[in-house]
Amino acid sequence: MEPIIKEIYQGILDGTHTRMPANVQSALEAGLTPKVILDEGMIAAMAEVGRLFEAGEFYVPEMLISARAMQAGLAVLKPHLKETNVQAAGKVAIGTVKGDLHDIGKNLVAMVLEGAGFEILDLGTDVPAEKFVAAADEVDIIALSGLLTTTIPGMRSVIQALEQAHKRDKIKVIVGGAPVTESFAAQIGADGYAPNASRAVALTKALLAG
Amino acid sequence: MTLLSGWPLEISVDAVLRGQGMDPPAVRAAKPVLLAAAQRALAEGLPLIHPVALLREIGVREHRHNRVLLDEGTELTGPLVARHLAGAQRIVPIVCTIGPDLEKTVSRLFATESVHALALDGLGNAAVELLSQQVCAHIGEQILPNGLTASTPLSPGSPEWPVEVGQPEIFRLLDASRAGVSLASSGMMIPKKSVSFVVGIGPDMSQASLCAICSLQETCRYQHER
Repeated sequence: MEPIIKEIYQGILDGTHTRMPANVQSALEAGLTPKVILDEGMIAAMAEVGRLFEAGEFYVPEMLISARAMQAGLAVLKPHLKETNVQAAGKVAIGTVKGDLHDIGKNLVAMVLEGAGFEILDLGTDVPAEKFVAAADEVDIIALSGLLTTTIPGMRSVIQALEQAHKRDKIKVIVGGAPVTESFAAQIGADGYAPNASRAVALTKALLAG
Repeated sequence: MTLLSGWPLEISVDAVLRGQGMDPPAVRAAKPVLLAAAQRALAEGLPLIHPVALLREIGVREHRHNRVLLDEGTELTGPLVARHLAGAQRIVPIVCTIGPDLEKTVSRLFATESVHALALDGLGNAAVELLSQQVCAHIGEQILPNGLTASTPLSPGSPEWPVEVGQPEIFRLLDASRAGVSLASSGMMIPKKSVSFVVGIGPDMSQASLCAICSLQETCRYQHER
């Protein structure tokens, strides 16, 4: 691994976002391609952050610190990615379902997905099914969040609304939130369930790859 | 109906860490950034916390196998309340909140200062938890001279007392607007950093933990702290 890539990788792990733009600029000036910087320096580092989180060695705020460093680097890298036709990992519309005003979990997942290279369309909280249906034309994945047993049935309503709009086959739907389980996700016909932000990244990648 | 305010909440940095799902010794040993974030949240967030508790006592008219009938013709229903309030002479419904200021700040800061916002949210979790514990202790002190005991506090959303059943039952017994708390149609309380619960009062009330019957017992991060 090139020393500057190693520095970018370590900077994301350590969350040193202030040095990240300069490091990415140095990597570009050293002749490394935007794709190499992104894949080997940044996305690889976020994958390691996810692994550390899953292993219980990182807490949620540390994922956010790393995601912030990643975003600082991406700000420099993005124009070069466009020039070289490197696409975002995918686009995700995320929101908390109707009747539910909780935003922390949804925001966490959005930030970590963004840190992993996904483009995010944040629909906010208390989002009616129609708004998710409208967003389905613009994104690859719809991510539904809910924190109440009384509101998560709204996830089924979103999936039904997508079916009625003949959009269900074109889009993947993932669900999460404290009362949501794997079996609930299966019952309502979601494509996947993630118990935390790190798994949401892995799930999103797997669904888009697959 | 009694509105109690001005609770002197003494929240520790460790409680703020636990409020974020963290293990305080592990953080103190190796994560100075997270420790500093919790300390900052405590210093800056405390002025945003306005703890209030609203409660009243209601006599119990009759116990049935799946409900508790109250003096005013109201009732609490379901096997959980029937079992844990068995023997209660009176019940006390309670709504506690720390007000909306902290959570508004959390939402505002999340996009720009996410780590600080999360630490403030952890402070809010710690504050509302401590407030509910202090209210329970207050009730216990009030009834102790009469030889009475208080039951385990029961919250809607506990096993066998769904939010959609329990929240309307509690909010029928209290004018929660006096505490600045409202109930959305989903059963969610606004401000979000609010809790509602009921305790039973009687000569020999059950203090049994609810953890044993909870579906989250395998994964609950709070279970082992109680």
